[in-house]
Amino acid sequence: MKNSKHRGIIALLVCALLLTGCWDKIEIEDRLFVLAMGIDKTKEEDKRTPEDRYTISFVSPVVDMVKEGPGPAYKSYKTMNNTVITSLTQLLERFSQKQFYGHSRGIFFGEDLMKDEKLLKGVIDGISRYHEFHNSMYAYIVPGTAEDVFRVEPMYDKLLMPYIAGITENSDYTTKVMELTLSDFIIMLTEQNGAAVIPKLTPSKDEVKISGAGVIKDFKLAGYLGDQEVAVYNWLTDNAGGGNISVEHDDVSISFRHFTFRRDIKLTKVEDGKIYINYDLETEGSIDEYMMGKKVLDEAFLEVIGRDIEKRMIGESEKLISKFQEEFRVDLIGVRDYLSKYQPRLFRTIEKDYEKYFTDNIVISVTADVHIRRVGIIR
Amino acid sequence: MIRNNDTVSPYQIAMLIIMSVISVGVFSIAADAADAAGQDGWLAVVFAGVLNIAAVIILVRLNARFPGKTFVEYSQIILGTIIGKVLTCLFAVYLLLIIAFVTRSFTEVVKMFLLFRTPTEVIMLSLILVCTYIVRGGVECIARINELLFPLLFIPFIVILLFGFPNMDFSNLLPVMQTPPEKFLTAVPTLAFSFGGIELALFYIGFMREPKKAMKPAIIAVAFLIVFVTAITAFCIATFGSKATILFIWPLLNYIRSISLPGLFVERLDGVILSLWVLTVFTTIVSSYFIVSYSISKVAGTKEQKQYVLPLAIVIYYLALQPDSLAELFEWGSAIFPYAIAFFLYILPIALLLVAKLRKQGVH
Amino acid sequence: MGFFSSRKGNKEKKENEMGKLLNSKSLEENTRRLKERLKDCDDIVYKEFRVGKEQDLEFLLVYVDGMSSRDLLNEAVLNALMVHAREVPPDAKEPGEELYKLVRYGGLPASELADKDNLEDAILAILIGDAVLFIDSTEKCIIIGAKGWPMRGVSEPNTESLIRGPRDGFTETFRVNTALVRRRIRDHRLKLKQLRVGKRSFTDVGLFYIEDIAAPELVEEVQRRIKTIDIDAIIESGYIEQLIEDNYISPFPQINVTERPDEVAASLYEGRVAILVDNSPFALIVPTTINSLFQSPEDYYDRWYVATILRAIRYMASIISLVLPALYIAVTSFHPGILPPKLVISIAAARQGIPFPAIIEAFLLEVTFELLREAGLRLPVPIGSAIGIVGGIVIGQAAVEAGIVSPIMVIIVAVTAISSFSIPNYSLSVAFRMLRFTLMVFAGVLGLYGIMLGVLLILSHLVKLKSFGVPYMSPYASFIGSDFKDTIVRVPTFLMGKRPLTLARNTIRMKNNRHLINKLEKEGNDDDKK
Repeated sequence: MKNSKHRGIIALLVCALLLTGCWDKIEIEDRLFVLAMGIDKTKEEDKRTPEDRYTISFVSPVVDMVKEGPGPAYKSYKTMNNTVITSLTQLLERFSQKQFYGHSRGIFFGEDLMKDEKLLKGVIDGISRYHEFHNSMYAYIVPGTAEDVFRVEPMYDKLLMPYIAGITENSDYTTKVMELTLSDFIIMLTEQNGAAVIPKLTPSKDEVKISGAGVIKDFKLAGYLGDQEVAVYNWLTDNAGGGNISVEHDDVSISFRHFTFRRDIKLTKVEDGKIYINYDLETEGSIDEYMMGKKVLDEAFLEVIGRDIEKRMIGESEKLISKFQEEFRVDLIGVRDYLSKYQPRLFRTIEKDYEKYFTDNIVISVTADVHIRRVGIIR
Repeated sequence: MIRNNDTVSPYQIAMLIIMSVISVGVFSIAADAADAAGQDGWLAVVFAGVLNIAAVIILVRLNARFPGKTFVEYSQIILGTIIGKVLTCLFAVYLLLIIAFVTRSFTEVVKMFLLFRTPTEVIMLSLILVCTYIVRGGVECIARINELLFPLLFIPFIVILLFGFPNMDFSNLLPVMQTPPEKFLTAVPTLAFSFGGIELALFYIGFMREPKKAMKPAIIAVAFLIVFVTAITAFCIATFGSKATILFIWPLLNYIRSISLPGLFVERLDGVILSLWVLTVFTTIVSSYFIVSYSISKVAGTKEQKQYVLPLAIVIYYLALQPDSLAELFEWGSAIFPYAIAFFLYILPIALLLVAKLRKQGVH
Repeated sequence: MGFFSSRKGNKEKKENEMGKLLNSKSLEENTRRLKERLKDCDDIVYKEFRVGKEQDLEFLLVYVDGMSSRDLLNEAVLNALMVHAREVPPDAKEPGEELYKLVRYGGLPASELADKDNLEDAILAILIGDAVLFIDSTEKCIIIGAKGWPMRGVSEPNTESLIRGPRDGFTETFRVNTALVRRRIRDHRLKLKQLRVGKRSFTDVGLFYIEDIAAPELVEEVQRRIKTIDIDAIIESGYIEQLIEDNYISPFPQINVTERPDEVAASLYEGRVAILVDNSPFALIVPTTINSLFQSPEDYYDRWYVATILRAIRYMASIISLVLPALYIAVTSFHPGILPPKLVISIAAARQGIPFPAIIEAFLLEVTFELLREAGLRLPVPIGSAIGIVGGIVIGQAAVEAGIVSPIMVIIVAVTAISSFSIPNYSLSVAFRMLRFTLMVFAGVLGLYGIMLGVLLILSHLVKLKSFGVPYMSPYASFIGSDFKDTIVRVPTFLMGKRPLTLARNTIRMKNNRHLINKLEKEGNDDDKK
């Protein structure tokens, strides 16, 4: 008897629980999937209240149009608010659907925002704190305003964000495109005390271009890296995969395509309070194009070309290193990482005033090693 | 054939220990470890784990002296009826607090990631009621459910963890052993407490036919735990670096959230891992819950433990609702549990074993 | 209370008195009594005949028309006594004991004979289908085993068809069924205990077990449970199943039901007990574990790779049939973040304009499907297939085009249905179907968390459940290493040297002969080289 009574009570409780409602049910068609967000600093003249610090733009697909109908299948909209996350709820005042950010694949930071330390810190904190955002979305800096990105109508793609993500994922085949996820961005900012390199995305009418990068120091935009410099940056940070390096020979360009790229850092010596570090770059690939009538499959010739390529790599690397050491005065090329991991004792002695030490007392040399393995299918 | 309802096999003991220890703690341990010992956090976890192997050896030795008897009975034999009963009650209260803590912190996570508008009460009550159902089945059912859920939890869990390999950079674990030793040593005890749950073996070994046989599985269980928890810590630190790991409340969750599996049905794994989290919480609650109702019935001298289960659900529910916020909850946790675990896992078994040896009680 | 019990007592007393109703010496009196007891039983044949030179020896043969074999009676009784007696007249001076002995031991060329001096027993024998021969001036009657009613031949079982394996299945006749089992176990240790259950139906219930393999406690327990059954009639083995199972609330079948004698035999060799019931082609096998419900006899006839893959598919199918609609509800209404963006967009596009929430949509379609299935099952085969077409068009086309359900939901329901058909045991697939609806409710309220809780509840229940003392989840949740050879994986046959330890006593089943074969092969190869 007692047993069945207990069972009855439990059953009643469970039923009561079940029947009182579906609190969190939001049907999938009632959601508005935000695939990308752009965050800008609000221009003074647009502000309605002085707190409207951020202008946030969103892009969402029009789901019916993804499979059918011509033209782009997305719409963009924007809002202004004092914090990023508040603006998310503000959208509920204007849309019947509920925004869902779990599928956001990209976040775009406007140039002006990046120049403001406090605003950037706020955005980063808000986005990493809010559970719905996935940290694996890609981050970009946009010269001008991030809003402009959402006005682009890509030529072949129906949706904007998969198009941009697709370009970013091409970084496996070209070193000039840099890939950075929000999570890596946050980690870099944490580990480097507010310094990071973030890929630059330039919108135009019907396409975007990801090339170059913004350098952030102390949570502020310090400057940009050019197209080729991003490639070199990828070499130096061991993020390079496939890509092209071309050298001039007899007033003609020879194109070398590499598929793998490796970088090694070594401490060569410590002398007079100066630390000598060597970057060794090693790559292998093939010659893609030279000139009709010239024989490429020739040991001596390939050696000459190889040396030329090495020279070019060394030159460009050294240029970029000195740019970091002298212009930006921030170590984003992994020296600190190397020293702290592999030379902990040495690092402890210089840890305190590392930034200054990096610019003044670390001497970096570069060596390169190119293996031309193949020359294509003709001699 | 129609077997005794009150026996636990050596294999089940191992499962019980593993499943009781793995609970909400695994999701945050990497942050604690990195906070205490930086990139050496995983080593600190290993040291802490080794400490627990010693603890578990003592537990089994103690239990082996009193075959067929659980903590309730032999503590009364060793220290006298009254002290034994008081200790048992203290143990029960401590377990109730653990259950309440686990329930509450789990509820907070569910509310944050899965169900935002569902009332806390509903999430909590539904979990407690599901636990109640199995606890009423007795020790054999508890052992069996732990045994059953072990592969269901760990196979997907480990597979998911391995998906994170491309994001890892094991050079983040370097340099090894560069943490100042005094800092490292202070880290070890705090981490040792995240193995709380082993002390349940004080009771469960008593349900075995031959408690002596518990030695091997218990040590294997703790060894497994060490490997697993160390791997989690190392993976998190390798993925995020020791500085960024400290940023997160639940680094393991962030680790799994950073995995994406493009091209599959399931792209993001956080929903999946939270479902697995239910399993870990469920087993921890269930194993402790049973011991609470069992000790109450033993202290009160009743035959069955069933009748106490449902009233206890209300107590747990009430306790779990007490902390006001996550911050308060964590503060409570760190104020009570390290001391309680130190007492029940290390001090008490050693004391009991010593007294029993001196008085020459039990089987040698 | 007292009043009722005393009445019940009186009734029992009366029955006992009647049970002691003895035959009278006078054939006339016997006939009168019989006819009185079997009043208005118009299918009973009373054949009176006289034998002897002077036609002075009176006989009476009674049987139920249609239940006894007329050929046998004509040949073994009438022909023997009436015709042959004329040629070799019974050498009895006077009727009575002597005549009786003569007939009993010499006159009747039938193989199955028995004596009864109790009229009640004689009547029971008649009703069971035997014929009873009464002889004048004796108190004894002779029971001639002449059961011979029209019966279905042994044919292939419909519910459990196999690609490879024997084609015979149980029939409705108890004796045929026991023979089918006995043919597979020619061991004197195979025991058959026969009981009669049902106060009015007197149904034959047989308990098969192998003496030195099945645990005696188990046999004892099964027997005890069957003996406690106090019911008027057992129409089908389902009655027995429901009356002896452990937990009547559980949705899971705790007794395995099969039409296949080979499965029964294999279970007996594993140490289980089989219960055969007259009038039912379904044998019961106890104890049953969830693992055994996922096994099909074919698993052992096929090679082990095939069996292992099929088992894995079955387990997967059961999981799909249990959780897929619930998962769909949870993912679309609660956690779309789990799915990749492209899939989410296409689901959202498919659901545009659908008036119901996902859970109602799922329920609508699932219920429609169950209706179709039930309708198709009850109808004759030609119309049944028409139902399938109607269902396909109604659900697959019209409902989607009308915008009532989304095409993705149709896919989900179809996959679920197919999965539930791949579970070999019918009762188990019904159990999963019921639980599927429960899980859908859980998912509709608490999303993924609800599904997890539901699954934990189901697992807790399974872990608590026992079938005749054996944990239902063994060997998954009462770990015995060697029993894992026959679970999701089915190891090569030569490795299955042990019977399941949870059940059997005499566990060694065969010695591993692989090394011997390998050795012979090697020798053979060496010979070739020479």
